Amino acid sequence: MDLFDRLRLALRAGVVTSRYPAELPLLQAAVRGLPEVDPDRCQRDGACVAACPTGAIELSASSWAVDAGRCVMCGVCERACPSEAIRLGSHVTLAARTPEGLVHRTELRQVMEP
Amino acid sequence: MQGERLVDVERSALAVLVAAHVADGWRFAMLVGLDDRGSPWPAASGAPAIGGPGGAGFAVEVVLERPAEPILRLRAALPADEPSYASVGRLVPAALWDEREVKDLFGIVPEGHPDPRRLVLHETYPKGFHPLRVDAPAEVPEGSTDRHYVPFAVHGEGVYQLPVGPIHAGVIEPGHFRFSVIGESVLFLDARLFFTHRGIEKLVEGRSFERALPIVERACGVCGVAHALAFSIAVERLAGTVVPDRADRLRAILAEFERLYNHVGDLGNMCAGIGFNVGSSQLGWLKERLLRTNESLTGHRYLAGAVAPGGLAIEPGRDALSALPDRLVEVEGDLRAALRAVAGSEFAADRFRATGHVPRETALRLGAAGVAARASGLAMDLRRDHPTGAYGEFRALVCTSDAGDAAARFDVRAHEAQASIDLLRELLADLPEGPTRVPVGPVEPGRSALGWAEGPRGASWLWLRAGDGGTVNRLHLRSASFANWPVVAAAAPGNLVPDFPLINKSFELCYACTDR
Repeated sequence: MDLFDRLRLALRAGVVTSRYPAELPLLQAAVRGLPEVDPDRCQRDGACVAACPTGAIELSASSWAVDAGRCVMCGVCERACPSEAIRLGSHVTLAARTPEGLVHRTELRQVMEP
Repeated sequence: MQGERLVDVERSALAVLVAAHVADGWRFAMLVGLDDRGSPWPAASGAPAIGGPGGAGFAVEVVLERPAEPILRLRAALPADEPSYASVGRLVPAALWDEREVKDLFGIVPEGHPDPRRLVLHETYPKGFHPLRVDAPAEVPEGSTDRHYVPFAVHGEGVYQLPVGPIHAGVIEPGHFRFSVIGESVLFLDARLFFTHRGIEKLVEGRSFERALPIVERACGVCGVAHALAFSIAVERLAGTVVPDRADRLRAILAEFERLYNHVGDLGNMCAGIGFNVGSSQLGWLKERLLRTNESLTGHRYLAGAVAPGGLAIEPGRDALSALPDRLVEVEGDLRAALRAVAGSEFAADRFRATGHVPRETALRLGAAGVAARASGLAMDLRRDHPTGAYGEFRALVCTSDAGDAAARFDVRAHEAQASIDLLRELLADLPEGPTRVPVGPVEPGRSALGWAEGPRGASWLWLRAGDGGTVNRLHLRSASFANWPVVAAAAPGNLVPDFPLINKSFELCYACTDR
């Protein structure tokens, strides 16, 4: 194999890198990123908090939060949720400038006490 | 339990028995430490209580395998007040690191062990702290430490020590390499690892199987399918779960994709190790496309989260599966073109050949695994020797070379990548329909079982004992990288220092799944 063959290989591949962050990485349809909660479905039973292997989920009276610094996107919370309120979304660009910036919070709907 | 045989032996006889078996063609798989003081499982229940009735002491267990025979577990009970036994590693060097690890984590002493130094817990940990003991404090206590690390080195006129790492120039994991050199020639290498010890075995104690799995699987980033398979198989053996055919087949498909992307990437890394940029960039781009294929199958570029006890937690979509045959044609063509570019380079051949030579005897003695073993003429592969799941029906081709050098490890990987593509085609044809996960039944507390899988770097061995209510009581994971690091150290002497990056990359071991 001579230099021309190597050059041909390189030219055939072309430029394969993307212009991140201007262009976001190509994601496959099946991608499982950070878990997202559906505020209308969440019953606040805490099943996800108990199930999470890394202690990434925090549930308060008004919000549900996942810490991207701890979450490994394993999907155990998704399967543990009895009301199917959690699914792993396509959010995968998770870098933040502060530890607090890694915490993704969703406001939950206010439930009337019976 | 079918497939494995547990035998209780005297602690004084353990080492001699292991050595006799190894002389008879058995291979050392791992040595597991146990602290059963106060164990709740009575001996009479049939559950394997250790150290006499009620479980009174410590134990060590040596796991040995020989193709097509039940895996042998030799267990020796050790008294609580004097947890020691005659060193196995003194007779069977493959056990040397295992024994140092058990000594650090349990305080179980292998009498006569030739290397008294710490391994897993560096000198900064206080003396007498053994985190896997049942009475270990949750936090590392204050206490006197011996902060002085003594490398093994050669001394004499003109001999210098060359320290490299643990921080390296490049995005790689931490390891400290202490070379004893004369000029450019390496006389001896002492590798110091375990900078990324996270205590995974302690972390999973008491967790449900489901909550333990994501942690075991992530012992390292690139052997996740192998670790998850070993764990799932151990759980299924404990519970007597029969995995559905479709799940078995898909698991093998994922395992082969893990092998394929690793081998393609590792072939590229070997090119990077000699500055052969055409090879490293072509193979790097091919690896990236394989990672995207992984993502299309499981939603995860490194295939994590799919394999689980009872089958699959995530089933690859039908569109993604039906795209695979065409994808494999493309991968095969591009892999061959890239390998032709390497094969046509005299420069690459000059650097690969005779570099990092590991004779067959050395590989055997040190218990090399996977590509490292097969490139030194040892025909071993758990997919063939102890097949699980779909590998019973779909036989893996075991690729070997007798040369034992970096070129042999390159060639074995290249052949295995092609063999994986061929096997994937067979696995994908007539994929059975049906469920991909069944519930795992209850597991009797106190029972233990093994799990194993042939990963990209060799055997992942996992020892698992169930606690109450489907939890992990004790888990030990021994990765192929753990087995192979002493082989890397043995491959370096006789070579030039600038060849070490290539030698290291020709093994391409994980630090994280060694350190755990």
